[in-house]
Amino acid sequence: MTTRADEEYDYLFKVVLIGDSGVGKSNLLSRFTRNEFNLESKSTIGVEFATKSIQTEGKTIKAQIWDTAGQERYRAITSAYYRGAVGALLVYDISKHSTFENVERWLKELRDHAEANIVVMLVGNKSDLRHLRAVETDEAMAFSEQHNLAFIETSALDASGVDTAFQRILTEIYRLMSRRNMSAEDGGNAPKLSSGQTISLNADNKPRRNCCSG
Amino acid sequence: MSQQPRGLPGFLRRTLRSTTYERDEILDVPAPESTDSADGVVEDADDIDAHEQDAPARTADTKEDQHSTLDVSGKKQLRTVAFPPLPREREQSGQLDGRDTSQDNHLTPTPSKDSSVSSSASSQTSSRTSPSSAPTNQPKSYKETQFESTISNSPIISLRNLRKLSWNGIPPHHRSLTWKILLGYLPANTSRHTSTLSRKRSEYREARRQHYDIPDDSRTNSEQETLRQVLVDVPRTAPEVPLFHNDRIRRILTRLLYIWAMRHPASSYVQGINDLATPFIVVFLSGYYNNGQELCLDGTVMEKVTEEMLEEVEADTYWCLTNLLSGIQDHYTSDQPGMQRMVMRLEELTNRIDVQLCCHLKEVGIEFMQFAFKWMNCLLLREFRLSCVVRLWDTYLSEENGGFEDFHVYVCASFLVHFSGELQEMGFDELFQFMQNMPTQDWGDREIEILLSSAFVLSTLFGGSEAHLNVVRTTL
Repeated sequence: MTTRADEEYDYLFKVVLIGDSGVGKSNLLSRFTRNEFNLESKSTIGVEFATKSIQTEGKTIKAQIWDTAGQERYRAITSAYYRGAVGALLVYDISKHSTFENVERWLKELRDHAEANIVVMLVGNKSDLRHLRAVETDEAMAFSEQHNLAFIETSALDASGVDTAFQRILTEIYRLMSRRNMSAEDGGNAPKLSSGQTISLNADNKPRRNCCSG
Repeated sequence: MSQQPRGLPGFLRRTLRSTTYERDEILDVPAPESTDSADGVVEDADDIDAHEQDAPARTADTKEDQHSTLDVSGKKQLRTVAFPPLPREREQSGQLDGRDTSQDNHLTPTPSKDSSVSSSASSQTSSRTSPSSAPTNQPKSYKETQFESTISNSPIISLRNLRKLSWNGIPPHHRSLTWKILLGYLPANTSRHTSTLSRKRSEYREARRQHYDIPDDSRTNSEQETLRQVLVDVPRTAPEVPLFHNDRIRRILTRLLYIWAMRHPASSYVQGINDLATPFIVVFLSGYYNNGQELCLDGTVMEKVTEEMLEEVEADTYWCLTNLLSGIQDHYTSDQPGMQRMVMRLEELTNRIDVQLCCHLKEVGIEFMQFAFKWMNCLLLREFRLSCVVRLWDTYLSEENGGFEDFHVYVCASFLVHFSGELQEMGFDELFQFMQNMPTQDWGDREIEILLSSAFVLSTLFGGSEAHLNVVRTTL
């Protein structure tokens, strides 16, 4: 009923979902991985996790997506999950300006805890709430250009933009990694990795384990 | 894919027999309604006589047994020591062999010197009906009689007796009052109940005036942020329970969470605390209806609830939540040290009782923190139906030394190990998904009680023996 552990894939990328609580991170994840939306989903405590494979440029990429709790108090716990992530979807709610204002703080979190070359995409979620829009698209787009972020608006409720968002960030990670590999010329891409392992962009493409080695 | 709950895991069935415990505490676990042995829990019925005969020697043997578990890891060791049968086996043995009652006195809570508690040993054999299914006009169960004599018939309630009785589940119509007493919200002296309630409720009204019923622009930024967070979380609190869709319920939940946060700035509101308030609201509200026999979960009851009642429920919930949280305060302060400690203890304990499972988790790369954090933060409210949690909390509340802290870790360990077999078949993805959505939808009081029994056994084996755990930490 969920992803198969033994499915074939060429790359495994770890991506984190971050942003204020209530912006719809969990629903973006469930929409992307299971095509489900739940208006009454409970708040995320700690982290949750799901995977999905996509095709891009002839390769199968398995995305391992970590959905984190949005509340400030959980930062100590959730920031540990940034380690090894090659992508981040930084989500805000287009109907709540404060969630957009906090984007800067989230970027700082990433700078402090994530890999330096993590690919970040700014995601304005709840685009279906047109009549309640509080963050203009132009404003968010200007912000993302200024900070060198990819940008998209989505609605987990009506599914618009969701697949595109994940497809785009995963493709970009793949391209970035291919370029790095070419320049590093270290024997090409990783062999098939087993699950639970993640490619890290800045670590010579060696698979690394999620678990602590003790 | 739904999974049938099963009996105790094999190793715990064995462990249970190898343990010393205060008889009347563990042995008074309520029996299931059905006494058939379909699930094989009484597979060892033939051995029971032998256990019983051995029983008097048990205490002397135990130190040695426990000592020997120090240096041998895991199941094999536990398997070799044998003693008292499970509560259910015990009861069945009585039926099977027609033993005289002198040996079975432990089925009854120990008679107290306190005259308020009468020991009606004569009724004990017929006492095992489930109180929740017994209509009020039927003869009262033994447990109910005990509760009544403990609570109603005495001016000063014996907390010791109340705890002992409550450990095995509180009859629904005594629950609202008993929880308040066990949490220290109401005093043992029943003559002071009315005045205490009226004072505390009036204090709460005052707190509400001070913190909540004020203009929004007089709140500081951080207060506004707290209120915003509460308002985000209340509509997604217990969404599977229709009662919590009700606007009036949501309003009282918002208020009491916000006021609690204002009064406890060291932690303020943390997501998950909203979950912890739900059992109180349900239990206290249900106390007003159906003689408390059934939990009001469907929301239709709100048509009958007056504002006055609701205010009482709100204030009582606030104070009981406050008392509960005061015992586990560092679970929610900055960096949540209490939570980290609990998860670490769970890992150590699991290492001790199911080393294979721990190895498997390590192998696939799952850390305890990744799944057990939620178990600690929401005290298993995310893992069980609300009615199961209510039963679980009967026991937590009656644990004298921190049911929500110490005993909870044992419950979590039993819970984890319950699924050991399946988990060891799973890889990273599947295992993680499984942990996020544990198959407990079919669980009821019976499964919770089995879990509690296992946890009790673990707590007697490992309670207060940090050395056991430290040995594990250094050797594994």
